[in-house]
Amino acid sequence: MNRIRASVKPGGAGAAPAEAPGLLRVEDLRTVIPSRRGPIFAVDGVSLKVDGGQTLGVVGESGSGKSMLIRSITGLLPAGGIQRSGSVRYEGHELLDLDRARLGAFWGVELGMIAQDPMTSLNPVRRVGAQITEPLRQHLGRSRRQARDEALGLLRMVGIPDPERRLVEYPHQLSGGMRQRVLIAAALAARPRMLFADEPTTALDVTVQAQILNLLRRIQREMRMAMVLVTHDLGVVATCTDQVAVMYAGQIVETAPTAVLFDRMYMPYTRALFASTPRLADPPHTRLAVIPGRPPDLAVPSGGCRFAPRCAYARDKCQAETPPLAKADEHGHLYRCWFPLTGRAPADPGQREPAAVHAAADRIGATKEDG
Amino acid sequence: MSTDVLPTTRPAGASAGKPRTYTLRARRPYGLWIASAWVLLLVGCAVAADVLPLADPAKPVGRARQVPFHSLAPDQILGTDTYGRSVLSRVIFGARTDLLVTLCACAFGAVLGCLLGLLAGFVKGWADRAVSFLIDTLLALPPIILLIAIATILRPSTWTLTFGLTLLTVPAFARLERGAALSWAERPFVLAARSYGASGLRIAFRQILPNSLLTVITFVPTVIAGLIVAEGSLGFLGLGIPPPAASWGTMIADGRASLRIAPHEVLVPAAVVFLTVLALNTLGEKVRDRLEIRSRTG
Repeated sequence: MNRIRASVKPGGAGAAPAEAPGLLRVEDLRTVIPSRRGPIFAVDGVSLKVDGGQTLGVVGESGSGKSMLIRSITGLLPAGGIQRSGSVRYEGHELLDLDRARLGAFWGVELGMIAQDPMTSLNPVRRVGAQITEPLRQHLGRSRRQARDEALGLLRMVGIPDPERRLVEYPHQLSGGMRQRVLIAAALAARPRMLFADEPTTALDVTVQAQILNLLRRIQREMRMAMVLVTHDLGVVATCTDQVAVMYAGQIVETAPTAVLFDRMYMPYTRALFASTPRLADPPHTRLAVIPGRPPDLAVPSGGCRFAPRCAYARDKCQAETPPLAKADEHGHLYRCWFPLTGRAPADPGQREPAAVHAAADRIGATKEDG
Repeated sequence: MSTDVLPTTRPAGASAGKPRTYTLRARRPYGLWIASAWVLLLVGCAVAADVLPLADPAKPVGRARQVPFHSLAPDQILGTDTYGRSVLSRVIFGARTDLLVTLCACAFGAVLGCLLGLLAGFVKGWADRAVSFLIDTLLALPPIILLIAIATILRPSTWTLTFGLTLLTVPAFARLERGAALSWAERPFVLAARSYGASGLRIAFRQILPNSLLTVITFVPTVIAGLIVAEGSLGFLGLGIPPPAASWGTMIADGRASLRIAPHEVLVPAAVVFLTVLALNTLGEKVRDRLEIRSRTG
């Protein structure tokens, strides 16, 4: 692992080459999970690119394959004959070709991952300190003392008060927000250049969510990390990301730079997803817009557009033919739809995307970090 | 703290009487205290056997087959056996042998079983198949026949006995640890540890093993209780600790000849075995209850 580290990080973390283009490049990634009912196409031909220091937001409903995408990219897959094809290139290394041991050298040092659920992602019988110092001692060869000092620094960085005390405590003695901070500290311990955050704030209170997101953004800037942020919170997407990929049924259905996407949404699913977000600007007791139906069963491959059964604008062609990812006029905007929605104004009344974005942005920005 | 519960369901005639009250109070764990006290007493005596004013367990202290309490001298308070040796002394020195053998067997069995179980439950695949085959083979042999075979092939001695009893406990611990490892390996914190780049060995010994140890430890008293019974059976068959050393099993075996004229020779060690097994099982159960509550909330 030192070899890899040395080859990609000459001069250590501080002198890392700034914003190297195409740090992570995923081409036509497909992940198939075998099951009793037949193969499940959890990730179905996803291509994406993340540059150094950039943040990619991945949004979608539950079960749209967001987490599976991240785990397929990093290779942190559950056991059980999961097949991947396509290409995942990180800094020129083809991750899909690496065996478990070689890939393990990337985890923690190059590819960091923040777990989804802070309540269950810390080992209940080990002290907080031990869980943070382990990556330090294993990857960076720190002595016990050095590792402890660095862990203290990390806990301070993630805004945990009284870190000396917290270091010797057990996870059950910490609150949810504290645990998430510890998880972030552990994920950042070996200073990865690319961070995958799988719904890092889902399990937390709204006020704590904002703190954690601001913390992540600050650390990302300081460490010049690239980040893939999985979320279903569109306010988070609006404020924290440079590029957005909307996922549906294992595919990317629309992707664009964040500002562009919030300005124009071509795919009806994207728009429906945004419409279903509650907004502060709504009058009280506004009925929330819902997307009828459920995401499709990925074990049953269907011809045509995956979203067609739930789409208000679906026509015969949508049922029959799978739409390709088409290029929009704006640079970098791709969408998967035969009949893209046009115009900036939302199709149905009551939808106010710009207001939604601002309201969400206010919500995130207003609550300042406490530590 | 008293609460009037469901006043409307009280019969009309009873309304004049004192209202029924319920006291919210946890039951005191008397069973746990008594069991712990007995085990502590036993362990204390066994450890301090050399220091205590006890007669040599292999030498006669008076007339043979004296009933308990015929004399209040400490050597004879529990009577004497066929050879005039002090029953109290033999029970205590027997406790030392028994506890040492069963603890060692349990410890060896736990270490070996946990390693095998961890291998099976964490590596899975070929390792799981191999370990499961080994466990099933060991379990398929009737334990007493296995022990008799070992005692016949090897010369009966303390180490032979420990070895045989270890073999008995390995499958139990291996199964327990295998199941625990399988379930703990699926926890999110194991995935988190992998994402920090922890190696398989680290995950097995730092993440999975410490968590499953709780399950294993609660199982220990029950295993020791079982081993004490097994030692008793072997001693009874004359395959346990060779004489003149005392163990509870050999004491029962020795006393069997004079069961009619001096039943205390059998009854005293049998009662000690009975109480010890009961205490250990109670202890195991209570400890399990407490730890389960803790692990659910923690």
